[in-house]
Amino acid sequence: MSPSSISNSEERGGTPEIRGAFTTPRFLQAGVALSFILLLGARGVSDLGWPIARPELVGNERAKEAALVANARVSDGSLFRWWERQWRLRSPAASVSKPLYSEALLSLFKEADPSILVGKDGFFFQPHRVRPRKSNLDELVAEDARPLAALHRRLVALGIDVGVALLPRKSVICADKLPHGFDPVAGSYQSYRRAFEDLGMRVPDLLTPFMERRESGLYFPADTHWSPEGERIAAEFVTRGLGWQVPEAQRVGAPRNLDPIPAPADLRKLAGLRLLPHPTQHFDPYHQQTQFRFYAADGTYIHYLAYPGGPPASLMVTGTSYSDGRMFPQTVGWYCAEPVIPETRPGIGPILPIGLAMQHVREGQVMPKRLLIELPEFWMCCQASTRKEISTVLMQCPTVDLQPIGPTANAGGEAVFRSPRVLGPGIHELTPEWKVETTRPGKIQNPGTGILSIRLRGEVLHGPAIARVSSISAFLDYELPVGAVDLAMPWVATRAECFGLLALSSPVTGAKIRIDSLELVMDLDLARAQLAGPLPLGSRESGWSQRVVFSAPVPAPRLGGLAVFLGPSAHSHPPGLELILELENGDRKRLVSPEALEAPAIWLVDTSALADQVIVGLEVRGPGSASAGLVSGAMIAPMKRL
Amino acid sequence: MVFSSHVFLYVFLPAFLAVYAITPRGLRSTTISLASLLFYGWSRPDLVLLMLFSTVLDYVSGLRIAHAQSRGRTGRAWLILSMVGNLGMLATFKYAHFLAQSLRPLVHHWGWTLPEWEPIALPVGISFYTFQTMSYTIDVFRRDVEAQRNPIDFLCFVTMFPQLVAGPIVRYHTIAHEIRSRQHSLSLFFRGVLAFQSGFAKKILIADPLSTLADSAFAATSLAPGDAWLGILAYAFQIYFDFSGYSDMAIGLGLMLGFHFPINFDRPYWARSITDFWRRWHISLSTWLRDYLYVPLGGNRKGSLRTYVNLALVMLLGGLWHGANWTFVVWGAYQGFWLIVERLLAGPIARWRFPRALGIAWTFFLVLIGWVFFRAKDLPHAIDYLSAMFGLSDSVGQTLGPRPIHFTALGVASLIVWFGKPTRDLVDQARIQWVLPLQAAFWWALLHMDYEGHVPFLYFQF
Repeated sequence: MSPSSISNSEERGGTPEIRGAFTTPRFLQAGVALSFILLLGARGVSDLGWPIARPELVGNERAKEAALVANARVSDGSLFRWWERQWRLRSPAASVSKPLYSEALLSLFKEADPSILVGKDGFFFQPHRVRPRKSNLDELVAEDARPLAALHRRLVALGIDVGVALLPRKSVICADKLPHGFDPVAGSYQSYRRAFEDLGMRVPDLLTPFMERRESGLYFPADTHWSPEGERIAAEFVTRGLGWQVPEAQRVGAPRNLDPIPAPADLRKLAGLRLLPHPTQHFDPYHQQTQFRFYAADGTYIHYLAYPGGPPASLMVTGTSYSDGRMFPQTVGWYCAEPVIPETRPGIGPILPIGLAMQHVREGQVMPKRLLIELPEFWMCCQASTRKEISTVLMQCPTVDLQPIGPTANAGGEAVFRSPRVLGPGIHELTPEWKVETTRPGKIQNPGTGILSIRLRGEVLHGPAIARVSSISAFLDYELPVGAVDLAMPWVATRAECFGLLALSSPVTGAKIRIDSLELVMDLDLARAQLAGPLPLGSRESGWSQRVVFSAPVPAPRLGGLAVFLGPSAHSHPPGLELILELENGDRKRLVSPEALEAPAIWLVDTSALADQVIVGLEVRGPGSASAGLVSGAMIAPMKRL
Repeated sequence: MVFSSHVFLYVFLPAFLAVYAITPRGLRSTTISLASLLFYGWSRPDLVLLMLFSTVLDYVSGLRIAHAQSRGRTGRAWLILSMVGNLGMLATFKYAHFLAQSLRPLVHHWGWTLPEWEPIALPVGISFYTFQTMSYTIDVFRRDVEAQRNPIDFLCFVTMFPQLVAGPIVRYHTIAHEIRSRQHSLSLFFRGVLAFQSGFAKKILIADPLSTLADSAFAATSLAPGDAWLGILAYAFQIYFDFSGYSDMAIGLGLMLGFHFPINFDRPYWARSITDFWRRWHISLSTWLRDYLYVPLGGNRKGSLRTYVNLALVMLLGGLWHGANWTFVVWGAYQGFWLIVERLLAGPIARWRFPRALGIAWTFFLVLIGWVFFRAKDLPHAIDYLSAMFGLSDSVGQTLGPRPIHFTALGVASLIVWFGKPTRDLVDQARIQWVLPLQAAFWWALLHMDYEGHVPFLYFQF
């Protein structure tokens, strides 16, 4: 058939008439057609046969996605899910082309994938971990050290042996691998270390041994984390510097399948824990580790991770788990049975758990003999100046619809609600992908260590749904069954951390949720809101009270109000909980909770009647026996109905 | 499954083409139908049943109408049944919740209550395939085409995966003869590959990078005027390259299989008026509305006033076709308003002899304003955005922070839109000097997709 025979006219609804010469020779036509089919097909065949051998080559984002898929709790049976589970990461072509393409884009636009900087010899860096803090370093070092020192004093007073592992940056150790245009930076490691040591903390020097062994491959090239050798060096020098002895342990070897790795007996003896089957027991293909949890009768669990390249075993105590699936989010510390092994693995944490670590220790839920606080240097010295880069990372989510939920107090910006499919006012379809989420690129940035909270109210119409609160380095899932939802999700955050905030999804397709309100609450900086005195351990008796004095007076919000965080606790608070606001003019405003509050809870207090008044502190009084405590007061952002 | 996904490009398409090539001619429509059902049911197998319902309804209706007409009757009852069935599906899945929500305050004002209507997830492509099947039944009723008696051929027409989920809306008479018998050749396949590659490159290399800029602009609660204009400009190019890219890919796939689908875009931003714009934008929809709504309403044959009413009605419904939201209604009304104005001023405009460039610029300006309503999540959002564009917003503007890749994409998009060759010329003429750069763009786009992923096609939601 010759081209000239294609003559449907546009007016008749066919393709347009051929105009002009058809000059491509037949051999080229055949070449284009054959290459089109054969190359695409060859890529498909090669992808189908590719094992998940080196997922880090494909990049963090893809790998995290794959981890989510691999760990999906429920399969909805669709072919899409099957495909995602089976073949998503298996692409040798992508693993080869992506670094090269990234480098090409970098040279072309001076910015490639904003989450990755491609250095020399295939080394990747993350932009927000590379740049130094520009000015007032001493002041900021002191500001960062102060709350850490306060925590340190309290822990030491409880008889806990505390060490701080200050982690050097890859961009400092591997400075010679930085891309062109990024000068090596000295960093502020030693400044921080000296500041911490001046305040009585023990901070082993990791920078020096890392610099001396920089040629030994201490970091994965295409990742930002330590290699097994880096972990070994870190473990050796942390434990040596702290005088802690690490027992010889056999490495467990690379996992070949999804079977959990048997836990050493001594781990099970710890706190009388037993291993229970749990859907969160899973293999994480990105981090090459197996995770499972031990549960104790009181709901405490210990999250155990075994991974082949790193320390032989470590434990992450993550807090208290509740029967309805809620739990407090943060990592409190990393432990081995005896003695403590530094947490050196990439991934979920750690986050400086100032607020909740204290609470857990006070509640007696966590009483380690030794505690290592891990503190990456880049968190303190880099992120505050790199909001743009981080914001762009958060913008990678595919979105269709964006809805603002109003400004966030103290957050310096606004959050938006992204949803791929809005079915009606406030009603969103959820999918197995994490696509419905709140975020505000570059704007949701906690000004200091404190508490962020999200409260979601609405109804799961068809589900179940899963709510995920997340930051750039950690997340926490809540399962939401079909029915009314009134979920308060507290979250401790460190300075300058960016939040993905809240993502909603469902393990099944076609799930729907109606969101009536979504409130974003940013805490006062805990450095400014200080507890008035030491708090007793254990359960509180009837008539307990706690008082918080703000070192910086706070104007009563005209919109929204105050949030009072209660918990952690496995119990509910009966109605009649009293909140007394202490005003600058000496008045005391007494408010009473109208209904029972199930901890961990947020009691939202309307302060619109107190406009123009200044709050200098607050006190909470419990009406009955309850294991609870006031964590903090917080400002609430103005709320807007979605 | 979407065209710009890993599974489609690397597995489904090569495998399908290989199977299609070795399938005997008599079974090729069956092969297309089965592959299309797999394509459509990939993520939601249950929705295949809905599409099959529409297929069966119109297949039976067509046959019964033809049978009735052969006996001297009109077969109107079967036409009505088909319309009720198809529009009922659309109403149920797309508009019921919107109608219930919109009518509730009014009904409540009268002291009545409406039952709660739970929203239903919109099946992908329902607006496209229901319009296709309706056009078939109407054409049979009008005796424009003969009823299709082979159920496999009819299934092939309805489910054909290249244009199933986002158009162009292919009317039965366009490809009726090709369903029965079509020719395949190297040059036709080659042209199909070029069209597919062109659409894919437009989507991945231009539309997707611009989506982040447009999304950021419409997510901001306040913007400086410059950024607001930048945002809407990015959206104008995003939606054009996204939708026309999909249409090009669909047309290309059709050519590979021996089908000639109608073009859907004809350089719309070259339009010198809104009337001209609608001759160039989403042509398959505008001609559908013209032939099955505007003309039956009387078109321009019943006087000026009736013509204006018809124009307004058609554009309102055209807006509503895009989605159950007042923003689409206003967008349709806005388009209708300018169509009426241009018709009213047709005489003076012809006498004044405006320069062509001025007409193009003015039309593009009007289109940009319209896109604000199209993209905004609700009317207050649209008003806020327009206020920001014209510097009428009180609040302090946020900065979008466009990246170099955004400016590059905007620049390339502008060059293609106003100075480039239309895809149909590229494909039809297939000059060797265009073929090789197009290959480079396609393979580059594949690399880019590996790297950045892809953004869902905008018109999937309609």
